[in-house]
Amino acid sequence: MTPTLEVRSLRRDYGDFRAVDDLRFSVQPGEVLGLVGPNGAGKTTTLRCLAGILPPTAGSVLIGGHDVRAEPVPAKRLLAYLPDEPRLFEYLTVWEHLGFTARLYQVADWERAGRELLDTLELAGKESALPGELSRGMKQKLSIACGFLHRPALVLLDEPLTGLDPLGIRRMKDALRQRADAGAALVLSSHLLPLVEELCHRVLILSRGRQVAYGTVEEIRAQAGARGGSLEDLFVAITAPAAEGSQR
Amino acid sequence: MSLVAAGTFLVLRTAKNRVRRALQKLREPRYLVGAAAMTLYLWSLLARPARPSTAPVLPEALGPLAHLALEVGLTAVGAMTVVGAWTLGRDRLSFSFTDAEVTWLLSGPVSRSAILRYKVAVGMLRTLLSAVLVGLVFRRGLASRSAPFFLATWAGFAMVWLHAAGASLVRLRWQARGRSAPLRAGLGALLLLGLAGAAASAFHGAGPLPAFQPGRDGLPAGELSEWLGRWASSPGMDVLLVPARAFVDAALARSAADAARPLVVLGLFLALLVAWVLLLDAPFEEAALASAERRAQLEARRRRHGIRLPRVGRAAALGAQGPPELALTWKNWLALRRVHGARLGFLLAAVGLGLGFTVWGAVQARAGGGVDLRLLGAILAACFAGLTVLFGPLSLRTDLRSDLRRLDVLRALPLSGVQVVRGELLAPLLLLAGTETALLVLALGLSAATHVAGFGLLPRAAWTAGLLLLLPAATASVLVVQNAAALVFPSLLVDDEEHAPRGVEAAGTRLLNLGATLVLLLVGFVPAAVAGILAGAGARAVGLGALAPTVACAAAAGVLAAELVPAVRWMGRGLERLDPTTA
Repeated sequence: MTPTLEVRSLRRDYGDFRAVDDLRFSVQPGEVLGLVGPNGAGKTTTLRCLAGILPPTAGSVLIGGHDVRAEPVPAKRLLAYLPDEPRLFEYLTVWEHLGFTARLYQVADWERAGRELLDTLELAGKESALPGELSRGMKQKLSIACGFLHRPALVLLDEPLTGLDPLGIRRMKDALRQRADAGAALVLSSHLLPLVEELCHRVLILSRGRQVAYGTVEEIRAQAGARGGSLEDLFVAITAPAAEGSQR
Repeated sequence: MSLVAAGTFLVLRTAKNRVRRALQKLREPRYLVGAAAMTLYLWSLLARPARPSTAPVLPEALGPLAHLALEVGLTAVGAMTVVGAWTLGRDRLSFSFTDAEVTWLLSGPVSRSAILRYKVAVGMLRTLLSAVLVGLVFRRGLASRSAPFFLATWAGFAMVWLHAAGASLVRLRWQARGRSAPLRAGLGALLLLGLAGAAASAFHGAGPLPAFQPGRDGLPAGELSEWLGRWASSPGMDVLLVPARAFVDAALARSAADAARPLVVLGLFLALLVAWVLLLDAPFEEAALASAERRAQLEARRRRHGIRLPRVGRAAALGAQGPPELALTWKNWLALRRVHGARLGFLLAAVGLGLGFTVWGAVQARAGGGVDLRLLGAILAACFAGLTVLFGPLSLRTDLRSDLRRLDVLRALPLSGVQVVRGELLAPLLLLAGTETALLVLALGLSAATHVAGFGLLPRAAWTAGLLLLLPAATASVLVVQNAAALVFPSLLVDDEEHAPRGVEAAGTRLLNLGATLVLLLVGFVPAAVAGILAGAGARAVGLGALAPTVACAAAAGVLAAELVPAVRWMGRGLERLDPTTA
């Protein structure tokens, strides 16, 4: 099966600083990949490279077989990028944001899908509200609704649960599972390791821009030589020596 | 560490880090050029040699009457400020707290009086900076000695600040005791009575005003000055004028010795005010929180270009099919409507009023009044259409200049760079071109029935037809140049959501941007002008003299449009290469 996302030897430098180095992984349709790592490990840079926002210094990113650098428009048509801070247009209402997204991605039946999304994300009744009138959590939900509207093959989420209330978190998790069940590939970056363990089929641990572990939690456990323990225990066991090494 | 020490650390480190950040930015040549331009401009304004100390200053040149009038005027303004501070408005703090100050100071292990000392110190620092600025700007026109003028200005600003702060704190204490309204009313009445009594007593003591005698040259300045002197030296007024007199004497002193005594007087007033404010024990915490919220609201409103969050009306629906970049155009069109809705309404009302006035004038003229306001209206409409070419794109910034701050969002869209640029520019262009078209048609319609020697209706129609093509093309050129500049200087020319780009380099870059826009437009317009002249001459040569203006303008518009194609492509490539992490 052709992977929805394929990352080959991805590298990204900021001047002399190497933020991400030699990342290699793939995500199949219906698979959820968790991207975890300490602060400054390169998670957001990786997601930005996958979304085509930052061009890679070396290596390539293929979405549905399209190279993000060589064929950016067909590749981006397949993806949705949801940053940690919702980036909305202050003079478009909730409903107009959906209309805007529909035109960009040429979604023919968007009204029905839009209503369903607003219902699911508890934004029904807020159609005429401007972002300035919404709480942070509601903005986050609107950003998610816009991201899901065109039924993307690949969803990139940076800290997707930030700002959501407990019910919102529950619904968000359900929505992500449904997307995956419907065949979408998901890459989510989060510090909430129990969430990653619960939702993700595979996990990629980054430390100082390098891929230090990749696979299912079981496979990572085996790589680390651990017999039991949660993803959190594994994360600490794997990343703490790397951090100490960097301090020395 | 005491709060004063912590506050000093905060202020100094903030200043140091801002300077360091600005200097780091100057490593990039483009920002260095901006800073150099602004430095040169400031130098040309401020650093020219001051007037020699022996030259007479303005109030001296006007004589003792002006000196006295200045004292009385300042006292009147001061009296109004005092009465206003104690009686007008709501009971709230005159100085503001930031969100960070509320979080760190109000929840920190520091006393209320320590917080007040910190705020007073910061307030004094701000008045000091204001005094430096005023001193630099006005030192040549008003004073011969910079130091006394600067010290007097600082003392004046500080006294006003301290008095407002003290009054607001006392009012908060009254409010906490539930007695604000009667105490304010009582004090206000007392103050007004006292001021009126002092003024009336002074009028009585000064005797009758010198009579103005017809036939004499000008006003009796000498007699008036003497009368005003008697009025000002009467017992009540003599006391009231002390602060203003000390300020004027110090600010306009010819020597340090002359300034010493009035400066001591100002210093005593300042010390008394500082002591009074610091001894006040008012519960300002709730007011501080309110001031932080008010400040945040004002900041949010400023980010929306000073306009309240608009009511959302019906908008034309956007179909899901068709060129995707038109989604950006539609989005910008809605933003323009919602940002400038009120102003556009005002503009339309003004045009409507102008039109009605013109029609009225036309009716008057037909009735034999001889006033032809139609032509005036036509000329105004045509001029306004011309001005829209330059000032329209400078004021309507709902395009890349506002959206580049969301570069990561733009870059994640399934659009090429050229598509994004096209989509972004189209909405302001359509609005401005529509305005220009309406104004030109209005101008032609208004002037249609008027005979203008040497400029008949046919040439007017020919020019109008040509300008209908040329003005939108020229407007598109200005929009492209402005947006291209924002791509080159994103951190200085892009409207930031959180705060406007500040600093010497930002101001300098804006200055350069305006200059560069004019130069680029001139360069871009030269081939268009040449093409227009040649086409017009060709039209005349083949016997189409009447249509020559239309042909010339059409040719010029065509050349401008041809220039825009590679420019937009270049911008599209630039947008794709722009690094969101450094922009």
